[in-house]
Amino acid sequence: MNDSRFSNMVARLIEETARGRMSWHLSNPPRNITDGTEDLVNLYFEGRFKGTPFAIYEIRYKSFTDEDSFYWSSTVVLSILDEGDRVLWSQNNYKEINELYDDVRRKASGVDRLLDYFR
Amino acid sequence: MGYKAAFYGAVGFLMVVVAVALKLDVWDSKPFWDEANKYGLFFTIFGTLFAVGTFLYVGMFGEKLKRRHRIPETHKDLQQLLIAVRQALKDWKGRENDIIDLLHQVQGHLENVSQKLDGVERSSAKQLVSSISREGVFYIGRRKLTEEVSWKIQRKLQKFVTQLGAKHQDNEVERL
Repeated sequence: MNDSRFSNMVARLIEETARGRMSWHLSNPPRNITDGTEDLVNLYFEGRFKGTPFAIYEIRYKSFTDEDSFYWSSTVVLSILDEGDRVLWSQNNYKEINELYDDVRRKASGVDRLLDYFR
Repeated sequence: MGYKAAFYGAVGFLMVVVAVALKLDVWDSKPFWDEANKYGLFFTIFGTLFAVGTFLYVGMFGEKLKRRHRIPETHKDLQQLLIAVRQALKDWKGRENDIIDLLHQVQGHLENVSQKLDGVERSSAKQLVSSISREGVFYIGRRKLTEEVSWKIQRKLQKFVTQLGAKHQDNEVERL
């Protein structure tokens, strides 16, 4: 079951990101989420809100239908990091996280500035 | 098996009662029918009261069901409107009118659903309606809808949608 406080927190991150009060930067994923797993981390962004470091990234993982057959699935994860950029806590499967991830990518790509040029 | 036994038992009992009645010749007995009338009157009054009670209960239950049915529908509509409001807010410049339109839709839903709510949810709905209508001090004039104000309304709407979702879940648990 979804935690409503978490939805409210992500909605606040969406607001802060949209208003430019929270910035995200593209980074390399820490080893504790890439080592010892076949999962692939697509884009990994880090940002900070009220002194707490956050990371948002997309993980691609194998969904096995049989012992040998699988297909690739993906999910967007929002994590809280420690000061050494290690992932302390993660959460996924919230539609607000997907919305935030889209916004972060949009901001990072600078596509809005480019589109303003054509206004 | 149990129903069959009960049926045959009842038929047997009725046969015994008829046999006793014929034997004792109660059909022409005035005291017997006077006594039977008393019981008949009692059961008629009791049955009428029971029927009225059932009728009222079904009416109340129907109203409760209607309320519960509207909450998930409104919750879904408000969730979609919340996303639309947020998308419009991300592109504030040039979309002020869209935001005002969306907020009016939200207000309509809130005014409707607040009648079906009570407690915290009802007071939150009323506060949100007041925020959206942007009434000034003592309800005089209207405050301007700025980006800051719109984001604050969005936050309150997010909170209210969460409360309404929790209310719906509580209703589901109660129903089970």
